[in-house]
Amino acid sequence: MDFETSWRKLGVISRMFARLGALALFAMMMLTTTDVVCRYALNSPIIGAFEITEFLVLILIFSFIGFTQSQNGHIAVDILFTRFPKRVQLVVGFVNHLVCLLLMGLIAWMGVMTGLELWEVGEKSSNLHIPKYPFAFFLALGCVVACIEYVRDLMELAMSSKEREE
Amino acid sequence: MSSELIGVLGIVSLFVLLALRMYIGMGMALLGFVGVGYLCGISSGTYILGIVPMAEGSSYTLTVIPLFVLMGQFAFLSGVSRDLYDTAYAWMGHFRGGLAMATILACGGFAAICGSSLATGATMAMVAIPEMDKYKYDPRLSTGCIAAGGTLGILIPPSIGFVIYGILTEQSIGKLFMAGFMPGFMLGGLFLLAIYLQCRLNPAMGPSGTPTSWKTKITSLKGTWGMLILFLIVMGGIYLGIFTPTEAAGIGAFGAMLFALCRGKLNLPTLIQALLDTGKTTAMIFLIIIGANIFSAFLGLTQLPTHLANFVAGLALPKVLVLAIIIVIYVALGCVMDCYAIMILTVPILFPVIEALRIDPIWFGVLMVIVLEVGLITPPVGLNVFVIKGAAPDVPLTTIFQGIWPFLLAAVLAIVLLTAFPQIATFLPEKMLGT
Repeated sequence: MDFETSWRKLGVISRMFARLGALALFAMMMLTTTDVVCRYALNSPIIGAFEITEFLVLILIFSFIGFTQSQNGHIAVDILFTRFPKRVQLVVGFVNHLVCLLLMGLIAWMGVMTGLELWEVGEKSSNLHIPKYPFAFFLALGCVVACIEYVRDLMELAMSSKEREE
Repeated sequence: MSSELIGVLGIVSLFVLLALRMYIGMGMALLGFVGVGYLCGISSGTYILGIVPMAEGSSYTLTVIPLFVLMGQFAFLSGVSRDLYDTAYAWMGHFRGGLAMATILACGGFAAICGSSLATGATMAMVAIPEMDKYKYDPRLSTGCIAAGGTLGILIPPSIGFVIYGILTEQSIGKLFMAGFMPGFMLGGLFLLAIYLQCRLNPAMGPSGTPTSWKTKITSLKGTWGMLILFLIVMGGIYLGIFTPTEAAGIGAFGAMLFALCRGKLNLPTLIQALLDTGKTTAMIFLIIIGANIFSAFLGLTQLPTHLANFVAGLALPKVLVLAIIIVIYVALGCVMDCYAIMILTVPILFPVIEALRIDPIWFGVLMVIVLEVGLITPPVGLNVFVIKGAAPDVPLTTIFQGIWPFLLAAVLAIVLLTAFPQIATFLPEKMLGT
């Protein structure tokens, strides 16, 4: 298997994470509904529903940022850009994705730092005493998945410029 | 260099980056990081990059966004748009332009369980355009009325636009929803009027359909009552303070899922597709929110928004003039950018001005949503228009844009009325029991 196809195959990672995020979303809906029903019908709200929802939404978002990138779902302004010459578009697109890669990498790194700090302090959620550090690590992981997608976009751009030259 | 000047420089650089097709969220995060780093040192910059994604990514209030998006996805999936259209058609079809009027009504009805303009426009286009073609409607009217009707999606609650505005400005989402009600009805009514007048002037635009019996009219309601109940539970619950908007969104999504299930439209593949589409939209919105918060941290340090607000307040211009300027800015931005992005981008800068002028923030939210809707249907980036183009590939874009003009005038009239009579928006939220 050559280098190019193996990069293409890496898209499977962001798809896997998206499935995980979909599960978190479904759980969030069920949890909120059950919580309200329990509160009014049985007079006993689910303890910690609030905190679990906060953790679930974090999982949801950071599971999806890579997938959204792979589906071209993050928005940008096209109107001027599409009037640039093709060559300029390629170069600017390359620089953009490179900058995004570096910035997202930095955010991932800061996520790891936050995670280590939370671990040391031993911070936990107030009702269920769930430790918070794994979620910071998950955030970092989601950002790494997004980085992989930026690299894949960079490869695509590099290849399409190679094709143009040939 | 003074810090305000650095702030201005930051905003200018942001627009340059956006013009170069940088992703909106990442562009704001980048400049926020660089700006904070320049003003307070690099460690403060990286600190912001660490703290904001974690804080925004695990915020309970923000969960209302994915849940309402999911509710709309399930509504879309349920195919209820067909029944809504049939109902509206049975009641309105025999009037001149009646099919177009039915489309507006059905759009309004769909908007009541879906918070997105694009989904509303897309689902209605598929149902209504073939019908209107059958009765030889002028394509300008048939496509124009769907583009316009679709925009009701973000005005009639639940509305993703209001959710985002409420979160950015720390206003009650429930109150914003209630405030959107009457303006939504008013705008829908003005759209109907626009259709009536067009068909009056040129009867060939919208020939009348076949009349229906009273029996058909009543039985046509059968397919839509489930949706009506869902709407009443969600909005009634918020209005009476029985549950928070987040809980309402969760219940709404669950109810819409059951609704789709009962109609036989829900199975594992469609469920997964709805969840994935919702996740994509959520990640898109959250990345912009995270970026905007990093950028706001920088702008806050420069004190530019406060100084701008004091400056504008000090000019002692009439409020109407300031509002008119803001509206012009929004319409201009709406011509090149997505409406949520505009909102998240501009609110942190402009909202202090609104507060300094003592303009009711709830009322301003409604005004802003209507103005952004206008952006959704104006060239060259009217997103709704492209959705309709997708459903009616034979109709040239220029024809669609021609058909939109009468509805744009109706929207402008709505803005004028809302400014002249702010009670249209503020009446309901003042009466509600919840917060």
